[in-house]
Amino acid sequence: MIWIAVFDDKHRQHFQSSRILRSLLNTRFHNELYLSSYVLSEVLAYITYLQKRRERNEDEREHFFELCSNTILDSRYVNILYATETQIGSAIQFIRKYPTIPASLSDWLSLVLMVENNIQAIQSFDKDFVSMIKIDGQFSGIKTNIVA
Amino acid sequence: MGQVEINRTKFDSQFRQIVAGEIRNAKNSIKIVTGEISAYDYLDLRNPAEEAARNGIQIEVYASGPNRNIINRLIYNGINVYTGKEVPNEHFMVIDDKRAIISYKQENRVIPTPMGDRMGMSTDNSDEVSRLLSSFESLKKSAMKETIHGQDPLETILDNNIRQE
Repeated sequence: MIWIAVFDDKHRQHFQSSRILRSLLNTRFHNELYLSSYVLSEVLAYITYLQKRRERNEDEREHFFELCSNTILDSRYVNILYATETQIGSAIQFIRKYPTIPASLSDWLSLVLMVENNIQAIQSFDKDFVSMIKIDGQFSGIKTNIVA
Repeated sequence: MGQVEINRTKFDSQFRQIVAGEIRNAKNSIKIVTGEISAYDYLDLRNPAEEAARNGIQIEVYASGPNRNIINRLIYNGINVYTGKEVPNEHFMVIDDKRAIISYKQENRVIPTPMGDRMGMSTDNSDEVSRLLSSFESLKKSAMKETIHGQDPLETILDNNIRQE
């Protein structure tokens, strides 16, 4: 996940993700970044998981959270989207409908939120988004920018 | 309605729900007097405020000690921010110049909550609302209207990361 890699300087895509996000802020068309509260939860769960496995210490966790708080929560360019029961219901239906695609509730929910909030482009390291968008016509307007 | 004290609940959820509801119901304007605008850290208050501003509700905030990133974000979202040295005794929000929610300090508060040691009250008493509006205008008169300046924290972190590559 791009956000995780930005905050974790040991992540193999740390610099790449920083360059990607920076380039998104450099254009007047893409200066609004959105993530769902589920994605925020995944970002925070990542560092907790590593701390539990003793792969990151307390200081590293604190630093990660500080970066996350200072950017996702304080940046004027970042907006957090909250899912309604209906949107979660839709996302669960997509998981049920397309079991061959290894996508999480959070992934499907991101697409549902994008459609309902008229967000046109998704930036991700996860190539499964391409399959998700292709498999269902309701996502046909979404552009993907997937960096493997 | 008159003057009604807002029940204290765990996490101050009821207070925030009432404030968020008032923000969503605003038709024309919202005027806020606060200290550090710490309520803006609560996404359940921030989101309706930004949405209201996008929908054309005129929102003005007087604050005595806000963080620069919060000021920038508010202005970026179309909210007017005034800062001054005077620290207001009471924090309040006036909706459409008709209703208000007042947050005031109460000593010996039993339940510590994220909102600190404050109590809430909502009112549509016209004398009380007029008093609050006068207080807002008075604070605004001696305050400075803020503009966006300084780099966004996300840009700063990304630039730092890229420099270290």
